[in-house]
Amino acid sequence: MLNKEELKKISQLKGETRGVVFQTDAKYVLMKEGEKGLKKLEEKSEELGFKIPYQTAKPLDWEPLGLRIVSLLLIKNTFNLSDSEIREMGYFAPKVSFIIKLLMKYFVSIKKTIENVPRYWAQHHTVGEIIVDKADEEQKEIIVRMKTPEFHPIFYTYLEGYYERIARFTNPNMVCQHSKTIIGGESFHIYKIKW
Amino acid sequence: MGEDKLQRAKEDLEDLEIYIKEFSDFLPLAICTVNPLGMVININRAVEILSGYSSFEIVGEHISNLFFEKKGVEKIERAIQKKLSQNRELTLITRRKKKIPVNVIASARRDKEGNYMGYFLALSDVTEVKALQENLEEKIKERTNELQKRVEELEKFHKLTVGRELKMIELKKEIKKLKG
Repeated sequence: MLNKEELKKISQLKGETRGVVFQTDAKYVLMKEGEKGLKKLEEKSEELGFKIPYQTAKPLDWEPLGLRIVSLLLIKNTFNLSDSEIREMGYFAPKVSFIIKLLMKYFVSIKKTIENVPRYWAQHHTVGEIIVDKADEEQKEIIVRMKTPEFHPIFYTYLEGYYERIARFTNPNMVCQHSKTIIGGESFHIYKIKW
Repeated sequence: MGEDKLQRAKEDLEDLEIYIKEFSDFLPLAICTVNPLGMVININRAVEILSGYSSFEIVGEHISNLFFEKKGVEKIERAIQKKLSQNRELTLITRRKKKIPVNVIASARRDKEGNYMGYFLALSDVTEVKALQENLEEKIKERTNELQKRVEELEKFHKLTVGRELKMIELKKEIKKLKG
């Protein structure tokens, strides 16, 4: 059940993301639930006091990152999605994202993709950073560490699918797995990509 | 001032994206954009119509999954990396597993430093051309058979008439002998 107060708190989190995320969310809902589904989602979000720009967001505009997480929670709740469907939603996004098309020049090889991961994060978000801890093409393993404020777990589930899809633009056998770890008393989200 | 310029550039970029999308969706020619690793990164509306797949089903897949001749795609990739233009016929496999003969034209994409960035593939359905060609070939075959028949008949006739002629000459010779 969604708690209005909790959602409000989440929506006010520090940081911004690109408006393209609302476009990709809307495209996923349209693909799964059609026009009626999108309308239902918009009505539900307004009911809870949020005006999410699913059809009006401009891909390069900065929008509140908190609102982006609220959108994920609303979609999950409205359509009763499982965690694996949230992951699937993340997997779907790079296929339809305008920004990904612009950044495709970075995904021309595994090496080039890894080199550009930090820059890629910064072009999408105003908070946090992403660090490549390991990139070993021989061992077929890449490990990236996210240094961000602690967001709702749904965001990290979504990113697992998202990163897997991005990785698969260079190799269709890549699989991404998310975990959480504490290094030096600090909490990090880890994404391990294997192939 | 800098902010204003950035905002303008951002708006121009978004307008450009809308223009490219509208233009490529208007094009009746099916076009795929492929990265250097053979993964499809974009398709236009005509590809969706021709293949029966939605954009999100093709984007991110290897381009060879769309064709029956996997080696044919590899040959195209090798040739365009060597800066050779490519134009060949392949068989597209649609979502409903229908095979469509397509003429494929490939052109390399390079960045401003000249680095290879992948390629564009333009696909044109040649089903009708092939059908016409096959029809034409069938007709030529029929006509050739007909002509062959006529030739045979003529040869028969020729043999018959020549045979008759020779017989006449022989008979005439015999008559002359008998008279003589």
